[in-house]
Amino acid sequence: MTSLPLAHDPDSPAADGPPPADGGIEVHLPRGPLIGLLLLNTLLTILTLGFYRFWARTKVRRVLWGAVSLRGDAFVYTGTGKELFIGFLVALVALLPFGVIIAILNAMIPPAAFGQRFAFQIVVALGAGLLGLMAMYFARRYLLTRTRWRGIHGGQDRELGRFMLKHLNAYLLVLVSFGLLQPKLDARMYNYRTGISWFGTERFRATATSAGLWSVYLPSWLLFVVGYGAMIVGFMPLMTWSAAVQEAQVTGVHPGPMPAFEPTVWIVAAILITLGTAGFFLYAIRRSIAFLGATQLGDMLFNLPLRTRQVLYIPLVGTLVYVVSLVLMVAVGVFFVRALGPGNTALFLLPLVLMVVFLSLNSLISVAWTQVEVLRQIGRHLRLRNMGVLDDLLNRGQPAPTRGEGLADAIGDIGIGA
Amino acid sequence: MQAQYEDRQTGRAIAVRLTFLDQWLVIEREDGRELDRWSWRDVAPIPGDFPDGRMRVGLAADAHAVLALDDPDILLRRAHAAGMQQPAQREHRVRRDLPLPVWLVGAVLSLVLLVQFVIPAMAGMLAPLVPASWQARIGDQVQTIAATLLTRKDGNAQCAAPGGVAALKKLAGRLGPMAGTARLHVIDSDLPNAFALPGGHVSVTTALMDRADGPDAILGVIGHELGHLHHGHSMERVMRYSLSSALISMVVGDIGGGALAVGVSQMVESDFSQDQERQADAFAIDVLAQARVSPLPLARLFETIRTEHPEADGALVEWMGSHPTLSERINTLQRAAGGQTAGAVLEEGEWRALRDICRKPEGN
Repeated sequence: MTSLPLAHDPDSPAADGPPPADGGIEVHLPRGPLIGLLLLNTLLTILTLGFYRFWARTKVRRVLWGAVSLRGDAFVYTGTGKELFIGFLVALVALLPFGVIIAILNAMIPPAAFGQRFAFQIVVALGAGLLGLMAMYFARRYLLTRTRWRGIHGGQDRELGRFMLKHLNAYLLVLVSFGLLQPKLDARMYNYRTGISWFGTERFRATATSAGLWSVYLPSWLLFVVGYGAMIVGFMPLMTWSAAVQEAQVTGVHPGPMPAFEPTVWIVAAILITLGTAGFFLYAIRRSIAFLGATQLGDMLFNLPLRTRQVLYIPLVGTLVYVVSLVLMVAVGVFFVRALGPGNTALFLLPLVLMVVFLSLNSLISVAWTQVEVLRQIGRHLRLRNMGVLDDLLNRGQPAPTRGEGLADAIGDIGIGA
Repeated sequence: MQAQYEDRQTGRAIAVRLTFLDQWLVIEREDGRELDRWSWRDVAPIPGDFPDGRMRVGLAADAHAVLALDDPDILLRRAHAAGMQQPAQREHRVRRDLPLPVWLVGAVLSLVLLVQFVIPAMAGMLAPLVPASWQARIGDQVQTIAATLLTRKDGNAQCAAPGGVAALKKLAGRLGPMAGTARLHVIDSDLPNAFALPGGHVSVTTALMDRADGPDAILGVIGHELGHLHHGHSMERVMRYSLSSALISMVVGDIGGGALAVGVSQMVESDFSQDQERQADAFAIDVLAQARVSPLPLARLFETIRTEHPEADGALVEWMGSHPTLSERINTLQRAAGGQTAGAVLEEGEWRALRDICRKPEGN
């Protein structure tokens, strides 16, 4: 039996009296060592054909969790690379039959049968969505149980079935309303997910609403609707051509060359969708701020008095660095192809080098820039009231899962955690 | 009933009251606030010797919090009186995990077994099960797309000059009845290439014909492609590639994984596809011998391509490429050369007509 001593025993009052009831969190996260770790992680992940990624992620999480302190004590991430690796293997074995069936069906659909391909992609996406929900459930549970502060662990209620049903119900409503109801259902689902989470013996609760989100969501929704409409119009000639290709096998009439895309429609569609995406980004930021501010742990209330414009620089700088770096990478690639000549064997290495650069860039922007800045902003602005709740916390008796988030790794990134 | 709630992580313990509600064992602080609730079915004694001699019960051997009981019998009697179901276990077992190296070696071994043996066997088994009409549909469409993509700018999308078509039929006819069932195409392209697709499609590009020193070489190329059709390589290859890239992209994962998956699949695939190319070469040598046609013109065609593209003969190609190195193929063909071709496979005029098969009719 392990018994860890408390860093601060809440039963013994501090020399300068009881700690204040209100306060915040402190974030101390120097970027230099984190960048070094991320670069090393990328290199080792590539050298091990991806196997190192479980240990890589664990190390990054340890740094991020450890950077956050509450009442002078840092959070600790207690997960291990081995747990993630084994969880992934178990999920892989469970998913393998589905992967095989999808691969076989994929091989049997003729390449120009766009209609059938599209229907197949929809079915696969729906299946992946279901798995994604399961993955989100397991990943949340894993991250919460591996988060420790003063010896206390987080956790999530055991109700996978209800979790899936509630989310499916919400997604169905979003689908039926062509995305219009998303803010309302986002709030409902956030409140539900928060309500099944706990830290020690205290339960989280959230009373988030969609009020204040519509003014930023609706314009972005409109841009998407018009943008995708334009895209479908632009796609029509290709659809007609593909039908002609299929007919050609019966009639013997050559369908003619593949139609060129009508640039105007595509440019308009691309601009509208890009603007819509940017608008959705704004919505996502405002939503995160509003929802976190509507959360509480037992009687301890969270408040995040932060304006969207105060954090807007985070995605802007990230996107700018990304775009400039990609342009530079293309320029370097073209330079090397020209300098070495198209037949040079050394050019086989170019994609590998560019991939290393691209992956490093990806992790630097998403972790070393975005996550660090987000944490710093939260640390600067988050206010907690009735922190006395923390003195009363004990661990719960529910055992933590022994395997890592597995499924999330096997089906790809679902946007959880570092 | 009274008990002690022990937090084994922080070492804190507090007195609690226990009650039963539905399937739950409800644990309350002494002031009545609920602390936790456990599913009674999952509650069982925790193994181990405890210094105070009291029994610990909980939800798992490694649970963060447990209950210390002075007299466990009282709890059982209360549960019985409340009509609770019997707990599922007599005592929790300590879970032990295999060491990491065992998992690692097991994972790598399984992966190698899957990619090297299971997937090829599955592809070999499944490919013939795809109905011929489906295979033909896939082949038909790929043929149309490939012809569209490969045809050079301002080239003829339909190479069907009557003289050329007749010459092509005569040429392939030399190889016997199997060639008669194939659907032969010539593509007006700048890339020297030839390929076979399900549904009996065999295509040769004009650029390849331009590099041949006579029709015998093109007959060798057709023989090679017929070999792929004979062995059913195309569908099997599509299946195998789909399965192995699906598996590898699942294992490798993420964005970087996508790129790695292509590379690794390519390496794995090149092994099998090189074997298939050798099989197709062997088939070509056989049918050429039966047709009494020398394989040496085909070897010379490969030499021409090797001179043009020396990089297609390096170590990297041997490792990653879909075909064996050109040098290896040239040696095989030269070794197999038995004698001279008996009688011309095409007359000079027919060969010219075949090379002009893509010429557009006058006035168009």
